[in-house]
Amino acid sequence: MTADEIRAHIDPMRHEFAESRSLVLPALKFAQTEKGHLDRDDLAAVADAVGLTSAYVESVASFYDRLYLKPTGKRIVSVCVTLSCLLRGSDELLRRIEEREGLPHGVGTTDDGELTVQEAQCLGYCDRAPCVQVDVDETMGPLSADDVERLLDDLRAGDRPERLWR
Amino acid sequence: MNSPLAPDAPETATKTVTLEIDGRSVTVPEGTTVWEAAREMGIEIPVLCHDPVLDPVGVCRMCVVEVEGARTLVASCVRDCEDGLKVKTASDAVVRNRKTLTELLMADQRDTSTRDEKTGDDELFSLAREFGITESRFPGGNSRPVDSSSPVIDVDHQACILCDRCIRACDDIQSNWVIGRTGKGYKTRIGFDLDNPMGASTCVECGECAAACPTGALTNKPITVPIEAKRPLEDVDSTCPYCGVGCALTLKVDREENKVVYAEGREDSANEGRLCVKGRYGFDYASHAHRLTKPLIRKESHYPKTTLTGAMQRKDDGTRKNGVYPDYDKALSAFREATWEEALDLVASKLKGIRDEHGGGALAGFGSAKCSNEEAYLFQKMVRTAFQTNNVDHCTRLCHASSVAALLETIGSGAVTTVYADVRNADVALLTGTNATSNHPVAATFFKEAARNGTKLIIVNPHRPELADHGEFVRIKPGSDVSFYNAIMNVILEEGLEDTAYIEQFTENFDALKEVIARYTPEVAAPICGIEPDRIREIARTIGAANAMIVLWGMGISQHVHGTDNARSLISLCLMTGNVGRPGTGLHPLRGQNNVQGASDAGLIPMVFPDYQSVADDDVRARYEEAWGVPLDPVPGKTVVEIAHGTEEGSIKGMYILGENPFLSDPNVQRARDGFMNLDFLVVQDIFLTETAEVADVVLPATSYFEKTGTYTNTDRRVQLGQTALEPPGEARLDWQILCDVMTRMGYEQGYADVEDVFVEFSDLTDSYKGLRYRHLAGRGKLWPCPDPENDEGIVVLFGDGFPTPTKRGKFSPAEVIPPAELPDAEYPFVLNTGRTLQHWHTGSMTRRAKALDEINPDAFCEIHPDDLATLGVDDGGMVRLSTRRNHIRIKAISSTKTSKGSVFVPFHYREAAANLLTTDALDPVGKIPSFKFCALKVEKA
Ligand code: SF4
Ligand code: SF4
Ligand code: FES
Ligand code: FES
Repeated sequence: MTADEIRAHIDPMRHEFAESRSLVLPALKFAQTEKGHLDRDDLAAVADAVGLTSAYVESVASFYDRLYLKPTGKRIVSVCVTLSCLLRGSDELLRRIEEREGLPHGVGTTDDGELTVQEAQCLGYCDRAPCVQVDVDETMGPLSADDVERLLDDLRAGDRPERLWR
Repeated sequence: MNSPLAPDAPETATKTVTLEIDGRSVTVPEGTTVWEAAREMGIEIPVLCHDPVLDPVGVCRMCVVEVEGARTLVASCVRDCEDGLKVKTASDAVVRNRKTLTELLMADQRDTSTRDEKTGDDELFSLAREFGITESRFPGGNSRPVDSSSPVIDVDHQACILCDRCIRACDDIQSNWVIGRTGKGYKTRIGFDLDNPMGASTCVECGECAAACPTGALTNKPITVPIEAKRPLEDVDSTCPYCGVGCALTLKVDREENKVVYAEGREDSANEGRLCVKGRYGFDYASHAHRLTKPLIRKESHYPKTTLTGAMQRKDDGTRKNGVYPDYDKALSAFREATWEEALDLVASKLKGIRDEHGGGALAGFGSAKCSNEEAYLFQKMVRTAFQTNNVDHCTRLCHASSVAALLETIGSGAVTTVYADVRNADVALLTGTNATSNHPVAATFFKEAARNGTKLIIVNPHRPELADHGEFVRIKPGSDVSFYNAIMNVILEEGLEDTAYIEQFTENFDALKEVIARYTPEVAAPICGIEPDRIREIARTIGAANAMIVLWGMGISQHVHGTDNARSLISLCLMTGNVGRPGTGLHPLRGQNNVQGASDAGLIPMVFPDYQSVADDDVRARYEEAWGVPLDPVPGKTVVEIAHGTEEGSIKGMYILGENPFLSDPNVQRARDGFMNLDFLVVQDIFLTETAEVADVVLPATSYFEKTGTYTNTDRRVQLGQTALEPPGEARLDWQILCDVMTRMGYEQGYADVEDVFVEFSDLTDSYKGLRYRHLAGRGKLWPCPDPENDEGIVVLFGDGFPTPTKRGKFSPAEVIPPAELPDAEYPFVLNTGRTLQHWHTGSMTRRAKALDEINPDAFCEIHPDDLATLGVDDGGMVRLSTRRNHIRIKAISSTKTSKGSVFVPFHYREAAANLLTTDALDPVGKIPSFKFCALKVEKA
């Protein structure tokens, strides 16, 4: 995405923030809508649009789990590994994914490029632990390892959702 | 931050607080941290993330202390003192905590630390030793990578403790903003730009991060011999040999190897410990194998003279083959080695012969602003007494002669009115004709810092300098300075923004100025300078409204045929707005060489003796005749380019060149070269066989900066001491002694006991240096004038109560627009602009022999606007042929929007594509400075 496109998106919200660097997250989120991840040119464009150094923008982008610096799969599966979910067996879920998908520790992008699995911190579903989130909106639980396998099959079979990243 | 003006700052009553540290009561100003208070009392609390030159962030917790009543241990580096606080800095709990923390940090370290192995000052490893930690109970090994892509710094991410010191050093001290943190959690590490390898980032290799790092994560690569903790090194306090900022540094010297091993900035100095890549990593030229070690006399077989080194060989892509000086040995073979006796006798007899046959006026000398005050003083003394002529000049003629001429004419003093760091006190800083991040890099860090703290930078330049990112950039058309500043002044007057009281009290000739600038309305100037009338008005208002404005300028102002007019305009602007003589105001021509100011002060100028005393003035001359004991020539001598022309027509027959390389640095250099080849006798005193030395009759091996003691006066008028760090190679001799020997042999006996003796003679004859002695020059050095050197640093801001002119007033000297000497036309449609780069110094004889600098910047290049490249059908990185009415070069073209459409920027360092083959030797009529920044150029695909 170009710096001008990003500028057009963030300019209307400039007045909402006391400091221009607060615009870096909205800018990164927006830039990610194009491809589902951010490449180096996108980061440079964000730096240019917000008026920050590339080192600063990279620091922010590499900190957040939901900003992707590498291409992701069609769907993203986040397995909660915080206390409640861990006690209720989320490590079991990851182990199953590891076995089935051949992903080390169950996380990463599958070889066929269809799915990306990542660990997540508490998703606010502790009462339904262990839980899993698909993409950014759909959270479900409690899930057994078998449930997760079914979920992965369903996701593989489905289409890439539109406007996923917005 | 300590202000350079601290002594003048108004006294404000500070509130104090009283607390108890380790059972002792202490009273400190409010805002002091517990760590600082303890330090004042002599209690050292260990730190890792803190460094007194950085703002504390409190991220490592090494500095924890126990505070009575506090729930947890507190980080003393960020905790402000409070009344009644009771602090224990070394209780059991505190020590236990620090020990565990150290052990945790050590878990990730490798068995050894690069810093410990190199400089032996790994702060984490020292703590581990102190706490007796040999191994860690904790699992560790973050297996983060190493990165050795930078030419000067080794990065070991595994040793990084994420203390943020490098980030603050890069951001807050150098304002380069290269480093960030990448990732999160355990995997976090520092990253350069977009997490690039360091060597592929925007890093400018200043080394500040490596200086700040407390562990083995960022360490200097070796430049000469390995940096090893077991090597006994000696600290020699000196200054940097390169630019006019004159950074104070400490050289770490291996006496046995006779080499500088590394360099560090000195905290107790005006540069506040900061250095740039040249100062920190550019010292090794002194140990280069090309150093001259014996006097050389040209072999009979090598007459008539030709230049000896052939064109440097280059591949098609413009990169070089076989190094920078491929036929150096061949060039040397044109000479035979001689004894000092023989060489000096020959020099003296030849020069005497020419003098006696043709008169002193047939001789001339070029001194150098690279040499010390003592050497400059002796050199001009030699030319004036032994040669019996005033034909002595040096490179200042080529950089700021016009600025000095304008300053002398208007305010009666050619030096800066205030120091560069005074930018901290300015509301507005006008930076014009300067690419400070390359040419005055450490001064530029102060400008960038000021911008961050609220000083508005207005950057006026045809070429976009990096500083443009830190302020308002005004891209005027090349050579249009006078019209722009006249229009600014026009608006200031039109809108009543001038300082009437100041004009009334401190200036004269205002009416004449008014009359001229009345014609330069923004509408008249706009088409000339390319700036919209309303923008001119806005800028004028900003300047007019500033309470304190400082003007700093470089060679973009001075190196024009209207260079003096350009400087006059800036001076008028300051006088009109009352911006001289107060903190944060003033005129500061940024001086190029490390000793430009001093070389001029010492009289390396054809019209004046030391201290700018006119040679034509009978009383002045009588004074110097008495001091030097010989009759002196009352006729002002010739300037650099006039001397070069004199060699061409034969009026100059013999020359002595000390440390200059006019074969690359003179304008229209082919003409100058032809002239120098025409000389009956040329002696060159230098450390290398430079391009100029190749056509000498005798070459005298001189000492490098590192091998001698002497004083240097930086751009601030700051006199500092450079001290001997190395032994001269072979039979190379101290320059001041060589000069004395030549004088003695020419019948003008010299008997100085040591080099300070020379300084004493010079300072006694020079009012502004009166009373200064070497013992005063440690630490920050002394600013001249310095009425009380025992107790005071010297006067920072000059002319608060009038000027050193006959009327005590500053004189407005109006300037009209005059066109450049050579305008673009159909055949030569481009404008040529020459200048320098961060890594190289002038003709490259030092920096192209400095390993790191040469590695970072190996090949000649020029910058051309992408649109122009497209029209020419040349790719970025392709070769072009640049020609002017005088000559042509072949050079690699880099696509760059720093240069405007229609302009080409060529650095003049490169012998294989010498920019000065192209430049014009048309001169400014007053300053006699050539127009290095403007001539007509043709560009073709090559
Ligand atoms: S060397 Fe200088 S510019 Fe480069 S990263 Fe370190 S502090 Fe920044
Ligand atoms: S800024 Fe100038 S004086 Fe300072 S280290 Fe760099 S070259 Fe040397
Ligand atoms: S711990 Fe998993 S949702 Fe809260
Ligand atoms: S030194 Fe105080 S927290 Fe690091």
